[in-house]
Amino acid sequence: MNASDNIDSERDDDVLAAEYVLGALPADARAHALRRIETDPDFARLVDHWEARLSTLSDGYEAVAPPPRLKTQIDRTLFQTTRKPRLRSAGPLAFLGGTLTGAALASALLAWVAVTGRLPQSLRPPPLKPAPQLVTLLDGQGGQAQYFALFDPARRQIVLHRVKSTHAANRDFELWVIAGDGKPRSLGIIPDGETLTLAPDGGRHAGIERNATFAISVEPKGGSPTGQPTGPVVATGRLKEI
Amino acid sequence: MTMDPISRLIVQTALSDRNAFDALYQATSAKLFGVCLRVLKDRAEAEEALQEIYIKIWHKADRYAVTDLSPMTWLIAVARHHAIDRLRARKTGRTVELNEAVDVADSAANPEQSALATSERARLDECLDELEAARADAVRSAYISGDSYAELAARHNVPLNTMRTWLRRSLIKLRDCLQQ
Repeated sequence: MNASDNIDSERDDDVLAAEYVLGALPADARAHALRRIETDPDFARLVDHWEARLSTLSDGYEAVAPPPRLKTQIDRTLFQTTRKPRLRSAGPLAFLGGTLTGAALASALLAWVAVTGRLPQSLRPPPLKPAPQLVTLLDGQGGQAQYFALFDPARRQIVLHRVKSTHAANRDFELWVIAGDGKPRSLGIIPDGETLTLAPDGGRHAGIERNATFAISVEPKGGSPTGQPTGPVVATGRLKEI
Repeated sequence: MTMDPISRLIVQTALSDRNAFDALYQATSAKLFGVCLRVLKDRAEAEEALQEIYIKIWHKADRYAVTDLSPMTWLIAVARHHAIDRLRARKTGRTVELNEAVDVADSAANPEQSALATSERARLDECLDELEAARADAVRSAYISGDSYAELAARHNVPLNTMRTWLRRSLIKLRDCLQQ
């Protein structure tokens, strides 16, 4: 993006967004527009608006069943195998599908979207080096606590969506992260509520990384007095990139 | 609010759920294949494009969750832009015959969405009708078939820049009309 782009009027941007969505631009101009979409959320939003405005034109596309072998080829490319296992890996998400209903999963993810309020970026290819978001389902044997957790490195926020939780009135749930060194670090008390956001401060957020474990312990009101978990751990989940 | 089933499948696909991905493919691949065929006008290339599109969808399904677009609008946008980019990347223009436009109900839409889509479609059609016929045609065929400014200019026998000006003005008029 160069300086002249910055002084483009919004109107010109809107027309460029419209032309991109229409599709008539030559390849180089499309590539330029795509770079704008990747780097400029305002422009990406204009593009989304045009996608919505013109979307009914797509009724003109006739549905044609593709040959069955295409799906096999797609699966082979993506998974190096033909259809078999229920889920791609045996990681934390493998049981996630089984424990939560689809609707609960979907609402958890959408709740996260509602909370973080990320900008429309429907057509953006991944940025060059995106910090991956991390996700896990915190779950435990006793069924005392089940939370869906997402960590967004860009915002340094943890969003927790409560699936269920019960603890005594004089107790709090405290969230911990356990990284490679095996030491639990407190990420804070989990407030009551369906969807909540924790923002661990800079130093404390170290350790939230792929394959680290989130854990919830039962602590006295106000949190662990020692800086280490003192009560029973009621739920854990290993962080996986999405 | 109940979540649209296609939305749910996309969100579950973002969580690497292969069953959801399979179901999403079953529900939407015919429409997206239709997009590829119409834009690329070449069956073998459309088949390749469709595979690339679903690979893209698997990898970027999480991006859907952060848009306000309806699920089919998002999926069709992914497919259409991919097909158009492939079309533009061709070294030589092929002479191809345009397929007949066929209006087919969106198989993935539920009745309420269809009703909504019908009223939105009527609104867009009304606004297109306010344009000169040739310009409305150019808008439609650019969108549906991925025709470039150069192709449209040749077909309508006007200079390329004139065609671009036509379409830019038409789009602004459309926007203003839709906002009324």
